[in-house]
Amino acid sequence: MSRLFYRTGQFFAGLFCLFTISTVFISSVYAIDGEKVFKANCAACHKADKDLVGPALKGVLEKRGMDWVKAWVKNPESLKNSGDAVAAEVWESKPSNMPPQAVSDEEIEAIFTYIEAEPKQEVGAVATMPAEGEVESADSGSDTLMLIITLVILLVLSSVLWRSRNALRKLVAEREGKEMPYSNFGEQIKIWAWKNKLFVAIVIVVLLVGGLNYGWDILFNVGVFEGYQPEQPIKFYHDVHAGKNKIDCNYCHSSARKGRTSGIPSANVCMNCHKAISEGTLTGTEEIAKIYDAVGWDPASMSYTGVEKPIKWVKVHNLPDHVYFNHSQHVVAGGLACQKCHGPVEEMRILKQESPLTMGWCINCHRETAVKDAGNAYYDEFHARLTDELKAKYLQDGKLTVDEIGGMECGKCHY
Amino acid sequence: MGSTKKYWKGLEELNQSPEFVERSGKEFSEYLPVDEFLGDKETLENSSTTRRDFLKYLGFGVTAASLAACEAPIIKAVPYVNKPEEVNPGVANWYASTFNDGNDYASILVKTREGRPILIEGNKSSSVTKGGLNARIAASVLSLYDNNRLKTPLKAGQATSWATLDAEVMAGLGKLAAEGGKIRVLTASISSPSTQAILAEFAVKYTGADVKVVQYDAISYAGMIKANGTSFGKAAIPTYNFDKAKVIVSIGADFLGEWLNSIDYSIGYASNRKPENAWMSKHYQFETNLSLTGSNADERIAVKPSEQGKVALSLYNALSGGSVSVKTPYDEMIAKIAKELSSVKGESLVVAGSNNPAIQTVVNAINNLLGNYSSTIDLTNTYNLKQGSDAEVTALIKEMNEGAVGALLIGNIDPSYSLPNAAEFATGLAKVGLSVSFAGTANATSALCEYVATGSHYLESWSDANPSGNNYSLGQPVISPLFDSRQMEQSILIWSGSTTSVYDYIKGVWQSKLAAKSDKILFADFWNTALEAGVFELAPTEVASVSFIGDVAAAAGVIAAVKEGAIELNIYQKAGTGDGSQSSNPWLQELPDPITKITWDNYVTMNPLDAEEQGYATQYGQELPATTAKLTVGSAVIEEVPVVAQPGQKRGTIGIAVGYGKKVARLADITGVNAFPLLATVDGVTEILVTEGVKLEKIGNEYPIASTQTHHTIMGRDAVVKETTFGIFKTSDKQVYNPTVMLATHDGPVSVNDMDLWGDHPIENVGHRWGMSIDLNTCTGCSACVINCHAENNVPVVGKDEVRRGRDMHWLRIDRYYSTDADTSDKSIGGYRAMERPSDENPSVVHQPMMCQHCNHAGCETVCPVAATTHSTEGLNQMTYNRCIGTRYCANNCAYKVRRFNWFNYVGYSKFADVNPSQDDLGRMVLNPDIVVRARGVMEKCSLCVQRIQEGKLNAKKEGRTVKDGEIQTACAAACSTGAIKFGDLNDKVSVVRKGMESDRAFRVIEEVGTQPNIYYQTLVRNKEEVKA
Repeated sequence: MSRLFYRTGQFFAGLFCLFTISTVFISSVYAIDGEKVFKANCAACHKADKDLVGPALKGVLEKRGMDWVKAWVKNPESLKNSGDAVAAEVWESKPSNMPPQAVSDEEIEAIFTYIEAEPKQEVGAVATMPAEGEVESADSGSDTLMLIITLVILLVLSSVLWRSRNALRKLVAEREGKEMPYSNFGEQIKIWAWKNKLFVAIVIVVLLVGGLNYGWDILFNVGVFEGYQPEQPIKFYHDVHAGKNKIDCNYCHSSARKGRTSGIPSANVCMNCHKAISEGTLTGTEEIAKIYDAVGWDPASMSYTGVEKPIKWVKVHNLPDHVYFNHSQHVVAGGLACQKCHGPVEEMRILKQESPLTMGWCINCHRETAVKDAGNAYYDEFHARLTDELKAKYLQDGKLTVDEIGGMECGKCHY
Repeated sequence: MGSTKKYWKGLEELNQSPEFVERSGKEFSEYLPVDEFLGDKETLENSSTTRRDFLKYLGFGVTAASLAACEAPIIKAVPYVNKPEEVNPGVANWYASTFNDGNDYASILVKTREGRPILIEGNKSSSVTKGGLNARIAASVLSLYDNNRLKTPLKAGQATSWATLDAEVMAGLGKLAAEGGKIRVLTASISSPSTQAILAEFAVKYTGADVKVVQYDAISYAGMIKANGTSFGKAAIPTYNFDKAKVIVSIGADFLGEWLNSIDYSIGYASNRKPENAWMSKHYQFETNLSLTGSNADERIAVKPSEQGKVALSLYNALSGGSVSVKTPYDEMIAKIAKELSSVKGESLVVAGSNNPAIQTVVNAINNLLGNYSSTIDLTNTYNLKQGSDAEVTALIKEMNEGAVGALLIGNIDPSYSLPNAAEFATGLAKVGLSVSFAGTANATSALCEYVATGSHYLESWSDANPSGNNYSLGQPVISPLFDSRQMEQSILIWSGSTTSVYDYIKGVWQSKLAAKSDKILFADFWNTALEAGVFELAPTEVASVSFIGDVAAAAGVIAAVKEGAIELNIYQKAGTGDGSQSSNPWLQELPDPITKITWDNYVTMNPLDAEEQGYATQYGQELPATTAKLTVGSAVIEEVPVVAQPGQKRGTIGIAVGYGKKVARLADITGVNAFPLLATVDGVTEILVTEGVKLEKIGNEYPIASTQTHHTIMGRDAVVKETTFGIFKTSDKQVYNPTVMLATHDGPVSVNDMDLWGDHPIENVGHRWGMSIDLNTCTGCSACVINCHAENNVPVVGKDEVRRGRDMHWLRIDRYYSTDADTSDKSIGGYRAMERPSDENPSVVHQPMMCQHCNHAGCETVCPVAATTHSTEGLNQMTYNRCIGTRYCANNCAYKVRRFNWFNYVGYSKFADVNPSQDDLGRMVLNPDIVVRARGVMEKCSLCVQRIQEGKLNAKKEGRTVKDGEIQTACAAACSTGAIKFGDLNDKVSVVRKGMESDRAFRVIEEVGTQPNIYYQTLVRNKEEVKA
C-alpha cells in the first residue's frame, strides 16, 4: 500500500518538476545571454530587485532610458564630466562609484532583458525546491504510518478471529454437552507449550541469546553517536553549499589543511559571499539575516555596525578529550578525502555524524589504509632505515599501511 | 590439651594501663570522626530527612546519574565572528617579546594558542640572553592568569574608574606644578629608551614642579656601580664575557643563578665546560651558602661573610706582590689561584657578589692587574639593567619623612616589602600628598598608596629595553589586558597630557633613535624586522681602554675593619622566588630549590654539624619536621623560622632567602618569612652579607618541611652518576672513567648490553628512536626545564602537604647528589649508613636531570596488567592514561622512580583549591590544549613531549622532507640555556644525540639492571687534580 503512495508521489513530483523546469527554461530563453553577462560583470554589486553596493537594476530602464544607461555603464565618470545632471546626481549619491564596464550595447540590452525577466525565475525556483522537499518528506513519513496502521488492523483482525473461533468452539462444546478441555487463554498456551517442548526451548534460547547480544550492542554503543544530527542555530545546508554550489570543503574549513581542527568557519568567511547574497533559495532572508546579526552587518546601509554576536553552533563530531586527532595529518599528509570519515556531506541537508568515531573504527582504517609515501622524502628516509627483513614484511601486501609505521600505537593518539 | 600461654597485645595490656582498659571496650581503639561525618545527635534528630527519604533520594540520585551518563551533553562550538588572519585554531603562534621585571631580563618567545599565551622560551636572536631563560621567566606566563591581580584601578582601596583616577591625579600633579612642589617617581631600573623619554615628557608637562626619577633595585648593585665609578670613572656595570675566561674566581657571586645577567653568564660558562675541547675553564668559588654556582665549581672554598673581603684582598696581595697586609686561613689556596690567574692574563675573571664598594674596588683592582678589562670585562658596552641607587632611595625616604614630597608615583615594585627600612618608608609615604602605585597585584606598598593605577602584566604591554651596549629589544603584548588595567607608561603619557599610545610612542622613539642605524631603508621594514626578531642589535662599540684610579689602600682599610660576628648571615635569592615579585606563582613555589630541594618555604640554612651541636633536626621527611628558631638582626626580628641543615654551609654562618613572606595563590596563610628587613647597610648601600648583630635563638617547635629529595648521596653506586677529572679524561682510556658495565656469567664477564631476558626488538633499523643526551658538565641545576615541563605538560600543582608525602607530580626532577666523606668501598650495613651522610663541610655536588628514561627493556611495561604502558616503534615508553587502572605496579617496578600517580583529582578536589591554578577559570587558560589533564587514579610520567614529536613529524610529512636534527625539541631541552639537555633521533646518524650516545663520556643510569634506556648522560668531568671515589 505504502509503495503505491510512494510511486504516485514520485510520479506527481516528477511531473511537477518537469513542468516548472520547462517554464523556467522557456521564460529564460531570451535572457540566457544576459544572465551570463550580468553574473560576470554586474552581480558583485547589483541585484535585480534589491539595493546592494549599487542600486537595484529593475526599473532603471524605465527611469533613465536605454541610451542613458548604455552611456553610464560604459563610462560613468565621463558621462558625469560631460555635464549630464542626472549622472552627476547619481555619482554624488553613492560613496563608492561605479567603474567603467567593458560591455557592448548588445550585452547591456541583454542584461536588462534578463533583469526584467528575472523575478519570474526566482519565484519559480523558490517554488520548486520546497516542493521537492515536501514530496520527499511526506512520502517517507507516510511509509511508517502506513506500516503501523496495517499492523494495528492486522492485530485487531487476528484477535477478532481468535475470539470468534473460541466463542464458536465454546458454543459447539455446549451444544454437544461437553466440558471445554481448557478454560482460558493462559492455560491454552501452557498446554500448547507442553506439547511443543523442543520448539519452545529453542525459541527461549534464541530469544535469550538474541537479547543478550542486543543488550551487549546497546552497552557497546553507549557514547557512540553515529547518526547524530542536531538542529543548528542557523539552518545551514551543506547540500546547497557543497553540493549544488560546489564550494570546496577547504574554502570554509580552511584550517583542516593547517592544523588539528577542521575549524567551523568564522562568520566573516560567510560574509565573503553573503555580503552579496542576502536571500537564499530555500529559506529566504531569514537564515542569512542571522549571519548579518552575528557579524553586525546592516544590509540596509551596507555597513558593519560593530556589534558582534558569536554564533553558537552545535558540535556534531565529538571526540573524547583523551584522543588527539589532527585533521591536517589526514587531509594533507594522508591525502584523504573529507568524505572518507564525514560521509557524503555534499548530499546532507542537515549535517549528520556519518561514522561511529569509535576507536575500533579508527584502528580498522589504520590497518587497511596505505600511507601516501610515494615521492615523500620523509618516507624515503623511513624506507632507507628499515632492514631488508622488515621492509619485506611490511611490503608483503604491496603497501605500507598506517599500522606498519606505528599508527596503532597508543601514544600516537593518546597523550 | 590446649596451651595456656598468654599473649599480650602490647605492654599496655600487660600493665592494664587505665587508657587501655578504657579503650578495650571500644570496637576501634582510635577516635572515629563519626560526628564530624554525620553531625551531632541533636541535628540528626531534628533533621526532616527520614531514613526512607534518604533512601529515596539515594535511589533517585543513582538512577539519575546512570541515566545522565548515557546521554552525552550537547557541546557547543563558537567560532570567531571575525577570525584574525594569523590565528588558526589548533596551530600555535609564536611572538618575540621581552621579560624585564627589574630583577630578571630575557628576550623571549611566547607561544600562544588561540590567543592565549601558554609557554615561554628563550629568544636565540638575542645576544644578551642568547635563547636562555630562568625558572622565573618561564613561570611568568602563569602569573598572567593570577586571579590575585588587581582588576580595576583603586582609590583608597576601592575600585574606581580610570576617568576619576586620571582627573584626580592630574589635578593633584597640576597643583604641585603650580606650587613648585616635589614630584618623585620611584621605579625599578629603567633601561628602556622609550620609558626614559616618556618620563622626560612627564617632567616637561609638570615643569613647575621638581620632578625626579629614583631607580630602585630590591637586590641592590649600587655598591658595585659606585666602586666602578671610583675605580674607573664610569659608574656602571660592565658586560662580563664568561665565555672568554679560562680561570674564574667568584667570591660570593652566584653568577650561574641570581647574579646580574646570570642567563648569559651560564651560557658563556657552559661553553668552556666541555672536556672534549682543548681546554676547560677552571672555576674557584669562595662563598658562605652553598649556591648554585658553588655547586658547579671545580674548587669550592667555604668562607664566612666577614672573610669575603679579606679573600679578595689576599688575592690582590698575592697578585700584586704583597702591597697590603692581610691574612686569611685560605692563603695557601689563594696563592695557588693567583699563580693560575697570572698564567692566563686577560683570560680570567674575578667577580664578587658583595655590594660593599670596598670589596668591589679590590676586585676591580684584581681584574685590572690581570688585564681583564680588555677581554672578559667590557666597561664600554655597559650592562644597563641595574641602575638603582640606594643613596637616592635613602634621600627620597628622608624627603618623604620631612613631608617635602608632594607626589610619589611608585612603579610595579614593592619597597614597603623589600626595603630593609620599610617601616621608615611607610611612615614617609603617609606624609606624601599624592601617592600612586602602578602595581599589577596588590602589595604592601600599593596598600599604603592613595591611588593604584593598576598596571598590566608584561604580556599585555608594549615595552622596549636597552639591556646592554648597543643591544635593544622590543616587548610586544600577546594578549589584550585581562582586566581593567593600564601599563605604567600609558598612565604617565596620559598624565603628561598626551593621547599617544605606548605602541606609537615606542615606534616613534625607535624611528628617531634607532632606524637610522639599521640597514633597512624603510622604517616599516626596520620595525617589522625588529618586532619579529624581538631584538635590534648593533655591533658592540670598540672597547676603550680603562685605567684604574681606585684607592685599594682605603678599601683595604674598610675591609680590615670588618669584624667577625658570632654568627654571620648571607641573604640570598632562590631560583624559584627570586626577589619575591612572582612569589604568588604556585609553579615557582612548588619548584624544588636546586640545592636544598625544599618547596613552599624559606628557612635558615645551617651547617649540619652546627645544627647537631645546637640541637636542630637534620633530616626532613613526611614524619621528620625541622626545628624552629627566632632570628634577630639588629632591630629586625623574624619571630619563628625553620632551620634546615645544609651541607656546605660555612660553619658559624647561616643563610636565608628573600622573596617569601607573602600570600601565595589562594592560600589563607602567608608562605615563608620576609627576610628583606635583615639586609645590612654598608657604606650607604644595602648588602646581602650581614656580619654584625645576628642572633639565632632556638625555639624548638616542630615545623613540617616539604622536600622532594630526602636522600642526598649516591651511596657509592657509581652506576647512578659517573664522574672523573679533566686530567684523567684527557689522558686515559674510556674504560678508566666510564667502564662498560659487565655482568658475571658462566662464560666470564659479558657486557650488559649483550645480555637480555627478552628477545631483542629492533632498535637501530626502524624509523625513529627518540632519545636524549644530557651533559652533566653543563647542567647547572637552574631548574628552568622543570618549570617549562610543568607548563608544556599540564603537570598539576599539589601543594606543600602532598609534596611532604612524596607525591609531587614533576615529570622532570633534578636530582642533586652530595659527595660523602665515608668509605664508599665499605659495603656493610654500617658502611652504607655512613655513606648516607653527605660531607658536611664542603661536599661536591652533582645535578642530574631525571625523567622517564624511555627504556628499551622497560620494567614498567612488563608489569602493567592492562597494557596501559607500552613501547612504541620510535623508542618511546608510552603512557595511555585512558587505559590505566591505577595499580601502580609500574611505579614500583621503575628503576628510576619517575612515574607519578594522580592520588587525587587535583583540578577538582577542594583540598587543592588553594594551590592548584587549574581550579580557577583564569588559571586554566595556561593549560596546553594538546595535552590531556589527567584524572584521578592514573599514572603519568614524562612522554618526551610526544605532542611535539608528533607535530614535528607531521610538519616534515606535510612538507615532504625528513625531520631535521634539532627541529623537534622537548620543552626541557628548549628551556635549557646551557644546552645540557639535547633531544633528537638516535637513529639519525648525524644527530647531536647520536654523537652524544657514541661519545666516550656516555653512560646510562643504573645500566647494570639491563633496562637499556634511550636517555644517555655524559660523565661529569671536574677540572681538579684528584677525584674522590
